[in-house]
Amino acid sequence: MTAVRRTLASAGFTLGLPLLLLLGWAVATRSTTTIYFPTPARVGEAFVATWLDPEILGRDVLPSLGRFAIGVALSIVIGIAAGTVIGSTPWLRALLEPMLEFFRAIPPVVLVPVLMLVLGLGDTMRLAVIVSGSVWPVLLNTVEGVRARDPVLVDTSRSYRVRGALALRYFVLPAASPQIMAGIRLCLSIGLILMVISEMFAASSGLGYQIVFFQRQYMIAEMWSGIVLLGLVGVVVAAVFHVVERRVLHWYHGSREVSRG
Amino acid sequence: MTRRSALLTALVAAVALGVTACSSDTPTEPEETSPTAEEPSPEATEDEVVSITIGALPISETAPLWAAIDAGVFAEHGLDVTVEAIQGGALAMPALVNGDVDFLIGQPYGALRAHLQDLDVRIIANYASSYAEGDDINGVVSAPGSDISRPADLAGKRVAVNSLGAAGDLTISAVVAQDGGDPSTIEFVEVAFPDAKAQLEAGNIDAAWVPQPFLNMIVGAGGTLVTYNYQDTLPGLPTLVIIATGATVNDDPDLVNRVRDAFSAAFAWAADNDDAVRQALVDNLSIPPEGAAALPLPRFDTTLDVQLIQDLADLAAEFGFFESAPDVADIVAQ
Repeated sequence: MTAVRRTLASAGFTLGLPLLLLLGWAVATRSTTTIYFPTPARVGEAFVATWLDPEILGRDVLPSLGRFAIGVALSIVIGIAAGTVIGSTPWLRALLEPMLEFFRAIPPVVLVPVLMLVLGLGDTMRLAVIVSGSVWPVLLNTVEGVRARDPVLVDTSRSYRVRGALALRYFVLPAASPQIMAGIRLCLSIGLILMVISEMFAASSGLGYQIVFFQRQYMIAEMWSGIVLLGLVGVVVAAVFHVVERRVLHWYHGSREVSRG
Repeated sequence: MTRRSALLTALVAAVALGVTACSSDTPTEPEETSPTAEEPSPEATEDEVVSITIGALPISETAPLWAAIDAGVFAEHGLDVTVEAIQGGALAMPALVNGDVDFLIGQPYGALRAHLQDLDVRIIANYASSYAEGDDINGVVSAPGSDISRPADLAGKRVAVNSLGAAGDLTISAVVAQDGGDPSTIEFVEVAFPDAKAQLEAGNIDAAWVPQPFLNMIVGAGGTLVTYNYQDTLPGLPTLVIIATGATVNDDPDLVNRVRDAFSAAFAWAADNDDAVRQALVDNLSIPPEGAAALPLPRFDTTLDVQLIQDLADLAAEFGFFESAPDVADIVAQ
């Protein structure tokens, strides 16, 4: 009984605010005259007509999501690999840290024209834009997580001769994983933004391109529906991340609950 | 123009085009014109001065406007003009509709598009036109050594335009079809005008549609002029028109007439004062003087060729850019 009530309450909390916002939007636009503020019904209509169309789904949405997935996956792999090496090698860290801060501070958007010249106008350039922005939180968090291993555990593994791949698998990466996961969470949202931005240059298809195209064609409801789609993608990505994070860090959340008593 | 100064011009123009306009917050509603003005003549200066804001792109075509304002041509017509830099027709249209700018200098294609989406906009006069014959002010160029030499060769190639779904790709499609090519096989990509030359040289695109001064720069560096796509489809097509809202046209016809007359006077003045126009390029776009002197400019004229606008609308419908061609008589306020 209470379980049912709890589920209902949780659903209410999850959906309550979005529904309220939707209601407020509908009320605010009920006597709308300008095309710049369409009603939710009009945007919903445009959403179904635009994004559920198999042609647009296959030409714009899926390729965009594919680039997002590959770009983020590359960022995570590169970030963890390079971060582990840098974090466990003090001299390398001292050597690279100022450089990393320098490159991290460069907004990927300003690199687009350069990347366009070097890598052409295709998917490679777009992936490079995504990776050039979203690799940093993973990389820097991994460096920090690996560097801050518990010194007692470092000594313990050393005395038991736990080294190399073994240490990496059972000690270094797990120890850094809470930090790495926090980096990945940031990486996902930055990756989504950069996916859109990368499609605003030299494009002829993609989710970001379509949104800009609709804006320029004064198809404002369609433009809003694209923005809604991006938001929904963000929600789904966050939900998937949440599930994965729970599994990867179950020991960590468990130990934190224990330590909190 | 030497190679070096051409490069400098390009750089400067690139910067000028890329500069984001920080819209200074100057909401200037047009005050009611005095209804006693019997005729829109220069004598109207006796009336109170009306403040208007005109949205214009920071490009070379805006030079006569800047120069004429400085020379007092608009003041003679009782207009106190503020020029608001805009970054594109689509972005400026909301500013026009909500009254932040009173008049907009934009592309006719954009006005047609906006009208089709039920935005209440009217073309009140021509501003600048391409040339019906001779050297035009924009065209499609291919890279040095390319095998593209005529429009039909563009079929199956990657062609850059500054913005997809607009007059550029429309007229290129039309000119390719006219020459016996299949325009549906062209892969259009969006590349900003200042980036087109480098992208051509890097081989990332096969051809590019660019205006002056980029056109002369690319041809000067060995590129091939493939077509003047405006001239070859709709000779003399307006590139920029003056746009106002339907509300302004209906509620304040005196103001609209006064603006139209002031622009006519400004263009007549500009034709006699080319030096001042060139100086405006130097002052407002930081183009070096020798570059400004050599820059080809379009034809400035307020007389609108309505038939050409209708032809543009019909062409857009023919190539599927519009679902149906709007009746231009609804959009043009003469």
